[in-house]
Amino acid sequence: MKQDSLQFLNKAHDHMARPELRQHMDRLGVTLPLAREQAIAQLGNFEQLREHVKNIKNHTLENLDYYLTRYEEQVIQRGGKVHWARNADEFNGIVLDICKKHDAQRVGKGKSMVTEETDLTAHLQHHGLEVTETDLGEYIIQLAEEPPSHIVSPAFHKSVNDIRELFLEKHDLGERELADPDSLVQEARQILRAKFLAADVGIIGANALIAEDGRSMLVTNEGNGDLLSTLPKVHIVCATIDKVLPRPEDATALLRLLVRSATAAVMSAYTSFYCGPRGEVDLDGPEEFHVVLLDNRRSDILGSQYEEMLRCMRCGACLNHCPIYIGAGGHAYGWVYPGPMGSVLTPLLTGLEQSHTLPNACTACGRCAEVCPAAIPLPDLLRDLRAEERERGLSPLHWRLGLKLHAWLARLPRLYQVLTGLIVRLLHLCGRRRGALRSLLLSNGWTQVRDFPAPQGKTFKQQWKQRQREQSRE
Amino acid sequence: MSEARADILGRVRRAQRSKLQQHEILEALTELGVAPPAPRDAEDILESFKLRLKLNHASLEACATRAEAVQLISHYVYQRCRTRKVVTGYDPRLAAMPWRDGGVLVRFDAATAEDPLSISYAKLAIAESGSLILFSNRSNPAANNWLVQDHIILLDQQDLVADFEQAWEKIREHQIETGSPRGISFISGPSSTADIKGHLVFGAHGPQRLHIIFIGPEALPP
Ligand code: SF4
Repeated sequence: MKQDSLQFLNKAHDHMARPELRQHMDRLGVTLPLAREQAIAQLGNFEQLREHVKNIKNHTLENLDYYLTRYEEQVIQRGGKVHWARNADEFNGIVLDICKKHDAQRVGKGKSMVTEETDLTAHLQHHGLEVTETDLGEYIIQLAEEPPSHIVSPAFHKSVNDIRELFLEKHDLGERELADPDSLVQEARQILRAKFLAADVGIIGANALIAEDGRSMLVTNEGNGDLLSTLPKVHIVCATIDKVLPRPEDATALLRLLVRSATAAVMSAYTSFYCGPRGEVDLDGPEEFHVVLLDNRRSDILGSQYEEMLRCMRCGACLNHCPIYIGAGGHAYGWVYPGPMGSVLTPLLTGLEQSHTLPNACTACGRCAEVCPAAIPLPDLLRDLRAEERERGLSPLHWRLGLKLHAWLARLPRLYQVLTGLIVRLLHLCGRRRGALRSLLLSNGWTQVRDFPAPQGKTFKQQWKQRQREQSRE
Repeated sequence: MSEARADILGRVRRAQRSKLQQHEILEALTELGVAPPAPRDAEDILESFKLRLKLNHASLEACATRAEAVQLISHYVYQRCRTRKVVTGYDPRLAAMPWRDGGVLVRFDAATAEDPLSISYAKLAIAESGSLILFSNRSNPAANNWLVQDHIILLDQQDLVADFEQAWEKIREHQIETGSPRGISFISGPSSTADIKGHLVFGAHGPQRLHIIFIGPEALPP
């Protein structure tokens, strides 16, 4: 996917200027978090479980070479093949080779962030293959030729009417109403059913890889991934090296957190564990089974100060709780991963030069870290990335100068107090009549959409001192 | 691509903090134990399971014997699909059921896109999540779980366990007895999607309805 993360501010601005998205933002930022909160409360031992999963994940990362080789052994023993790719090009090349070897014409794809990362679909299409996304959300944005806006619900930004118009335009099925979500889903089912039956290769992602038995865990509600694991003659699982876990119990412990955090449900409709091609007496299943493992700089993150990011289970909770993501929309982030997790991952996977705007897309409110089921200290990692950005001179000159000035002033407490005291008095006088200011020097962006509450006339320190004095007098 | 493999594993080895031997790694893992027990909706696992099924939008009928189950299936199949024909895998439990008594015509095979309805026999079920566990093999081809409109799953009372951890223990035992299947699936409701603006719609790609027939002496009318 072509990256344009440096356009973050412009795109976020455009997104916020669209009032028709208000309801959509409320659903993201209010309804989903409330539902999640309930599901987590029902769980009863969220903190304990989160700690357990964190320890398991850390243990696995600390011994990653052992668990990866163990996983590989198991897959081979069950008649599957494991391929290793250092980067996107190698990854796409491997998948294309497998398709070519089988003279494949049609590929069915399940939801997989890894393949978004490598832009696999475009690569296969470029080489003449017909690739169909089968997750309904992914299918919708494939028709619309748009990137996903959310890691769990890729077409969340599309209204029912958007989708209706899209189907009417792209499906050659004559005149019809398609007035409600039910009929839209029915139509998609009919179209995609033919694709499942015709696919030569099924490509799916994995929510976890299990070292003990070589299986990969696949979590869906639609069942599209299961059809792709069953009907086509070649089955390819795409995953990254950080996805491995020791035992099946660890995968289902993670599942408890993942489903609640992602959709507020207790369980997804289908959770399947696959490994290997069909057996001799089986009546269905693929003839060949492949796993393609992508590194793409994850081995650089391992052992670095950002290692905790490798615990991410892609639940999307940090997105739904981030005021910046909700305001700016997923597309503003300009690459595959949006929201807080994306603001950490994108710089690590693509380089700060391409994306140093993203770690700044943070109010340090801390909600993401609070809800993250992998206990990733996202605000801390974002702060470290901002520090790196400054050290490497990537932030705009006026920001760096401003920060320098502030740092200098902060080291002179007397002067700092005098100056802030003056400014606060001035603002107080300016806004005395209304209690708020309509415009503010250097802060137009803020006052364009709301008033600035006028200070009460004294700084915190002044008020504190006054209070202390009064109390000692009493 | 063995060069890529050596390269990636080499980088991983250089980056990772621990340099433990295999037996030390396994000891460390054992020490971490398994997850704390999950909550259940009710003290009794059967009650809890029933409640979960309902929340998962699956329907449930119960009976005491397999012969009664045939009657329930016969009725359900005819009501739903106006047919007597069903498809199932070669599960010996299904093969031994008195289908003719219920007038049900069974084909033992993998489902095709033309089959409206299939029947599976669960290996296990989990109260915690209201899941039915099916192995994908000759006894239950995977297509039977996902190509049909209506999926009926039978479950014996003795195969109901409390949580994921107990389920995996039993799954390991089953694998020792009958071999390791290509797929293990936890089915916890009909196929659904909320991808169209959050509206929950059933029958996205797989079955529109999931119907459970619970067989056991304690079976109560749901
Ligand atoms: S960072 Fe945490 S909250 Fe965000 S997607 Fe990853 S696991 Fe979920």
